[in-house]
Amino acid sequence: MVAIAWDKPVSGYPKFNAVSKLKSVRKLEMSECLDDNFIEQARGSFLEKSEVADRVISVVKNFQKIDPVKVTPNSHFQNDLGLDSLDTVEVVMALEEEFGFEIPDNEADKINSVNLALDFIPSHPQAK
Amino acid sequence: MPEEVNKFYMNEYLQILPQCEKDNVLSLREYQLRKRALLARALVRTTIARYQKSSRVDPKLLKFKKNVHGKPEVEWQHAGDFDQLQLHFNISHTTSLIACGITMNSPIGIDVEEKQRVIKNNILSFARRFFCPHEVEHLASICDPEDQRQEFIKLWTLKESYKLLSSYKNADFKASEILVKPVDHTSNLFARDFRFALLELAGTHYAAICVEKDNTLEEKEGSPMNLKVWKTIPLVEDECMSGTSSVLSVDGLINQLSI
Repeated sequence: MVAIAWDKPVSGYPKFNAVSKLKSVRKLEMSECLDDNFIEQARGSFLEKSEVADRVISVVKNFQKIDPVKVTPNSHFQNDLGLDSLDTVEVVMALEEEFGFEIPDNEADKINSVNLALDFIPSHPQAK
Repeated sequence: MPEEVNKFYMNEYLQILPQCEKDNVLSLREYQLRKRALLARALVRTTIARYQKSSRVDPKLLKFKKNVHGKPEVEWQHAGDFDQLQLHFNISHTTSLIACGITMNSPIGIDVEEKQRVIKNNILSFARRFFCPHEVEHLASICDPEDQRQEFIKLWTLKESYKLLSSYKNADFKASEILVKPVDHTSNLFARDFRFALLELAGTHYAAICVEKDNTLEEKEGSPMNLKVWKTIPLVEDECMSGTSSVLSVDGLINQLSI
């Protein structure tokens, strides 16, 4: 079994190393594959998109300022759901609570629609 | 605001938008949000058109673009508009009020919030996450929950106005330490480059305005911002509210100019 090690850059997005760094590829021992940490990391990076979608939409629908009927995967927080900047921040905080990790401010700023949350969260290694 | 603007005027406002903006507005599914978007665009266009040299500038002819950070700006069309290049604007809205701020010679950020605004999260947890330690301390020291909430809203609008001015999305919100009494902190770098004003409008809203200081002008450190405030229904009426009880400056940071 082979694993490719990848960097964890500051922004939290996992990136695959450039070809030149493939030297770090090596065969993993079976015992390492069973290591909880490894499994947790591998699993965390690949949260099922559909599971994430359900959870994200549920968080947004439960936000008391939002009419749940209006929430769709394409909903834009401000244009479709009528939220202002303070509300949007609170929705992002609610998503952080749901997925158990803190979204860096510069990334959080960009999440202003359900779609963007659905793009960002599954690819974040710390999302639970 | 919403009730005074009836369908007749909504149609008039649609007429001053170019086709692509009309399409954008009409594509919004919610009636209230369409109305708000339409009013905001009409307010910006009619207001900026009035600051043009020629009094016959058609608001419909103004073009807008977004800068690299996503902040809307005017895209001036003619070489002779050099003076106009110095005109900056920013817009903010709540469900019941839209504010448009205009400056000459310096970028502006503006944010409005309803005074009665409540947040879902505990104020101090929210503040710890988004505000700097000084500000958290300040909020924590306020015993009365209502006073604390109001102070929080004021701080939020001030920080948001700075963020909206400087680079729309990338300003370091948390680190932008809005000192409670800026006039006392003249050594603060932040206070040297930016000037803030906080207003209470019609008893119902807080509005924060952030303006970059024009360093070509000689201004005293900590001198107040000169400001005129108008209550406007686009195409219908303007009322100068400066100096009236509808516009109160909070913390004495601004000089209100009456006509």
